[in-house]
Order: sequence, then structure tokens, then C-alpha cells
Amino acid sequence: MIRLKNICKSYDGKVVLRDVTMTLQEGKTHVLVAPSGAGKTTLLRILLGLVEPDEGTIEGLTGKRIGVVFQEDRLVEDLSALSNIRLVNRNLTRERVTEELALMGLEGVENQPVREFSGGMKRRVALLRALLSDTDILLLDEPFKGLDEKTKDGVMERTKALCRGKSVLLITHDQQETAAMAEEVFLHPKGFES
Amino acid sequence: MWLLIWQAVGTMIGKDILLVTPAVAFLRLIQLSVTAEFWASIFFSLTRIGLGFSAGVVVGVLFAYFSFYHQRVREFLEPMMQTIRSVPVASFIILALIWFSSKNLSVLISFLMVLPIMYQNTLAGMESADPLLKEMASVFEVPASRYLRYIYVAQLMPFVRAGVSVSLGLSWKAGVAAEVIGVPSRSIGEHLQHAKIYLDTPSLFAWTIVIVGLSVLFEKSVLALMDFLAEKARVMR
Repeated sequence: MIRLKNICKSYDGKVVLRDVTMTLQEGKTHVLVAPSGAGKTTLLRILLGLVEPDEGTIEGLTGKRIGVVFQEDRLVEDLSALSNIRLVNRNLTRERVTEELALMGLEGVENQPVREFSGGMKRRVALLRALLSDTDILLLDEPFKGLDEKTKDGVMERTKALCRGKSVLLITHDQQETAAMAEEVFLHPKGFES
Repeated sequence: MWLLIWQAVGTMIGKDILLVTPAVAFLRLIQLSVTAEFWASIFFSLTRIGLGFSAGVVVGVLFAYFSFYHQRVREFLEPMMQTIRSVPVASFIILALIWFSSKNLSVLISFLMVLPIMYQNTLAGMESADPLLKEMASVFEVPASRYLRYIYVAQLMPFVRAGVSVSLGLSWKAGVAAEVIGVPSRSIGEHLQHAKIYLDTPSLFAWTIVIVGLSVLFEKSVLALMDFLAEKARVMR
């Protein structure tokens, strides 16, 4: 269980997070819904340890490994889809990654450099990189951004299967994604200043 | 096409001392190439310019590395790099001749031509490395060796490659110029100097063809080797 207590964060005097308190259950998928610019990404960066909160505490993260889908894809453009995914988890076999890419609708492109991919294809590689990483917690910041409706259904289904057993915090403002993914919803929680 | 124009102009002038035709220049080249001295001179210049170039690449990359991580090193090195870039190569050659023997002059001059270019390009590459990818690697706990090999080197490579490409040609030009002034025995520069003294224009053209050919061959080989190694490093086992 991960507990965030009274997290506060300001940038140049502008309050972004004010007394945010929330609990992430072990092995569950939580969806955080809040308007754009409300501080969701700041919270994610605090959970990743990339930003220090001004006040508040986080319990339950010690010794846990975190996988993430950032707002940007953050892929190595010259590397293939296969290599980008295996970069973060050297124990993954080529066969496993190829199979998972195919299940995400990326069949036969595993050896292509991702610079040749469309935005939607890159997003799926970035998502799969996080899902297949050897981690206990997953933080997914708008992971289905840029996917067309038809592709999104299949990708969400596979994401749900791969998230099983992990503590997940998914950030979105899409109702369809919330309905499909959430086991626990934080709907416009207190403390996010928009 | 250019060979035809050269041939036509050479024939029109009709005086080998002013401009030889390509036929005469290549004939002279064939005559030279059967002598042992021709190959000894190529070996002499190639090894020295190659050594100066390699040292320039290694030291330039190392200096850039330390400058990137230590501001004081950067402040110390910048004026030196600026000076090397601005001072005419002839001044370096003459100064070096006062201090050293002419035998290894081309090593030093090639080194000095390559050093600031490699320093500047490598530093620019390091500065342009994507901080978002670094952050991604740190969150996923990608080991340093994998980060360096698959992310950092891949981002740095285009800058280093461009630096190598530019400095290869320069190292040849400056290296041979140093030999022409220093006249070390059995060097390409010595033959160019002799061609000048004896007004032996066919030899001048023949040796110039050799220099251009060697420079192109050297550049193509080094860049092909770099591309091969970069590609090999990128493949994940």
C-alpha cells in the first residue's frame, strides 16, 4: 500500500498541489481524473522521486521499482521497438516482446527503428516498455494518448491483462478509459489546483 | 568531364611547366609508383598524419568530456582551443620547427588541426544529449553501461562523425603543408618541395593526385569503420 499524506507543491509561488492525500492499494489499478493543468503530472513526478514535495510524506515506496509512461514517449529513436523495450528489462526474450508487440497491433515491425513509426505506434511501444518492465508499481500518464478508437480497445484490454497484480496509477481525463481500466477512481480529488 | 576540360586546357597551353595534361600527370604517377621511395614516402606521411589525427580525436574527446563535467576545466581549455583555431597553421609550423625536428612535425600539426574540431563537436554533442531520455533511464534503473552504449553514444555519434569527417581532410592538408615547409626526408612534402625547386610540374601533379587519393581513401575507411562499430554497438544481444 502506498500512502500519500498532505502533499503540497508550489512553483514560483503558484500552488499546484495542496494537501493531496490518497492511498494506492496493492495490486489494483487506480485512475486519477482531473482537468488539464491540475497538477497530475507533478504528482507523478513526485512519486517517481524526480521532484521533492514542499510538504507531506509518501509511505510504501521504499524498495519498490517503478515503471512509467511519461507524457512524452521518451523512446530512443535510433533503436528498434524490440531494443527500446528490452533496454529497461534485459531478462525479456525477443520472442516474448515480439509476441506482445503483435498483441498491441505492432506485428512485424519489432526490428524497425522507432523513428520510422507513427505517433500512435510510438505510444504503444512506450506503453509496452513500461508494462513489460520488471517493476512493482506502474505510473501511466495518459498512456492511450494519440491512439485511434479501434486500436485503443485492443490496447486497453492488453494493458489491463499486463497490469494484473501490480499497483497502477493511471492518469487520464477520458471517461471511456476510466470506465475500462479503473478498479478505483480518484475523480477530481481535493488538492489539485486547476 | 573535368578531366576532359583539364586535358583540353593543358593541350591548348602546350607547356608542361605551366600546366600538365592529365595524361602526363598519370604517366608520371605510374613512373613514380614503381619505385620503392614512392611507397616509403607514402608510408612515412600516412603513419605520421594518421598518428596526429588519432591523437587529436582521442585528446579532443577526452578534453570535451572533462570540460562538460567540470566548468573550471572548460574555462581553462576554451582560450587554448580558441587560440589554436585562430593562429595560422604556418605560424605553428615555423614555431614547431624551432623546437622540434622536422621528422615528426606533421604529427604535431595534424594533431593541432584535429584537436579543436573534435573538442567542439564532442562538447556540442554532449550538450545536446536529451535530458528526458536520461530521466527515463534513471527511473527504469537502466545500468550505466547500457545507458552509455544504447542511448548516450547514439546521440553523440552524429556530432563525433561530423567532426571526424571535417578534421580528416584538414589533417591531411595541414600535415602535408608542414612537410613541405619542414622537408623531412622521404616524405610526400619533400617530393612536393623538390617538384617546386626543379620546376617539375608533372611530379607536382602526380604527388597532388596521391595526396587527394590518400585523403579520400583515409576518410572513407575511417568513416566506414565508425559506422560499422556504431551499428554493431546498437544491436542488442
